[in-house]
Amino acid sequence: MPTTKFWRSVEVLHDVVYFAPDAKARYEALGLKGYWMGYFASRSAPMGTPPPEMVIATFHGFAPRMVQRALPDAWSLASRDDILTARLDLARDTLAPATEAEGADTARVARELAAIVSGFNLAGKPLAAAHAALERPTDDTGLLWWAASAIREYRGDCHIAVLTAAGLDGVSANTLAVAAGLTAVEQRNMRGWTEDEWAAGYAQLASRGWVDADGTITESGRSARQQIEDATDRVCAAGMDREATGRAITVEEGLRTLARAVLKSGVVSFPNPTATQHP
Amino acid sequence: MSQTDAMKIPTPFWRSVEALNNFVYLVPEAATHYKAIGLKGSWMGYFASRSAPLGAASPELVIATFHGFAPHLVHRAIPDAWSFATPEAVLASRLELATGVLGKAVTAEQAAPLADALEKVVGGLDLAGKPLAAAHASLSLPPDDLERFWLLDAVVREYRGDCHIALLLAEGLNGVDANVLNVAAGRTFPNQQSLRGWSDEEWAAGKERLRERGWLDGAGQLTESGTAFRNELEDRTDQVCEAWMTDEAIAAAVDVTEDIRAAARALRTLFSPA
Repeated sequence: MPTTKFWRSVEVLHDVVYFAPDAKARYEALGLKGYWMGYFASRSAPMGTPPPEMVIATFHGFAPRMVQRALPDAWSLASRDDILTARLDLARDTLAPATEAEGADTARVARELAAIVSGFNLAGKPLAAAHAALERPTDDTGLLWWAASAIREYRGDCHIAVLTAAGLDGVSANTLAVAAGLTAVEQRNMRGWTEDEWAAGYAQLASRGWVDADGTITESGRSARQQIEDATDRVCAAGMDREATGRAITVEEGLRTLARAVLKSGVVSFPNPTATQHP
Repeated sequence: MSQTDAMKIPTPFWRSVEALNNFVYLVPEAATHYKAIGLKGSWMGYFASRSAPLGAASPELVIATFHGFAPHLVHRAIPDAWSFATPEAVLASRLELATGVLGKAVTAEQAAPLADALEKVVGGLDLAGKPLAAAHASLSLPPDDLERFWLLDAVVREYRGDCHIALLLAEGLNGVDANVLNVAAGRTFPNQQSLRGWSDEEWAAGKERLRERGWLDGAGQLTESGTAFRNELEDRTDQVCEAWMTDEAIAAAVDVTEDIRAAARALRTLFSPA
């Protein structure tokens, strides 16, 4: 089974497109309006020009109204292909310093990660599937980010399946992440939930005994949050063949070197709204 | 606790919703219907018509959202289908086929209140994590009552399917495993292996995985624990579905169960006259 460090390192590489200082400006240059429209359009463009409903379904965790503010408008303001190109270029530019760091072997890590994507069972993983269907870049840094993105969304899709099966909706999943200290309290705004919806999310957690009356996470809440992560890892492992799993283990060291170099560049910091942790 | 906490949507609701949707893929005319808009062969008609709400989807996205099909079967039909017909043309053609058949069993007057009830159900579905339902829900509702009824029914059918897929994933069951289990449980056609495109090797590996879990015996028969798991899987799917519905949506589903069941029965009579 791939380790936690593998998944977290992949997440760091993928996340540069969301935390790069010029993320907003790059998409605005194409005609999109504001950070969030760039975010929703660029992350969902691998699926085509999806309606807001599809994005609400596949992103999980965002208040529907927040998605509807950006989509489908984005598709009339910029072309899907231009958005995908801008996103890949942003990734290349932001990752460049890290790929030049001492000890970094971008070509090898990119090749190994891309081979892992080929070994994925995509059934039930829509966002990973859409990313895997995109043309593979021929340059090392482009391929590195392409593969890291498909792998990141693969784990995200597995995580969403676990949340869905557990009956944990978007707002509860976010309140749980905040209560567990995985992300900051501004998360409510970052995901577009109203104060009432947020309170209802906490109430759901309280009814499961996962937070106490003042919203502090309980022992069983912590354990439940950990079980969700463990279940996600198991679901991910079940969809990988032996070869892909083997590659995930052997590439880990090289992958971590790159992830550490990205962290050193300061683009990605913790805690952040993805609720993932330091690799 | 609100009253609806104790309310459970009866199984016939979900079964009727399913029957009122899946005939569009199973009726004999489905094999040739899509030729009129340029699609080639019955599988292309199936994959294109069910995935068209996603837009001109990649084969990978279809593999992901349909679950259970061997990837090569999907690749044979998609994306080629989109070079022969647009998703919009495919959707219109599917709706025409659906209402052409359904109209023989259900009148527009009967369809209107059913559609109204399902609209309440669909309005109370949480779509997070339900991609195929979400895609269907994004389609604009036609004014015709029979069309509206069929389309809303399709949203609810795919909603349950999406919930089921999430559960299969959470249980570590991939596409081949899920089909092996269904065949062993007698829930689907004996030739499901070829219908879903799995090779003998893939099928045997699926059997082996179920054997390791104690759900199949040495002869490939379903064990007691396999039977229990498979039965539980349906109940748990229903539970997942209900967990993501508002009280209003659950109440609307409960209230419409008898009437939608009557519609499903009327449809069945078309295919197997008493």
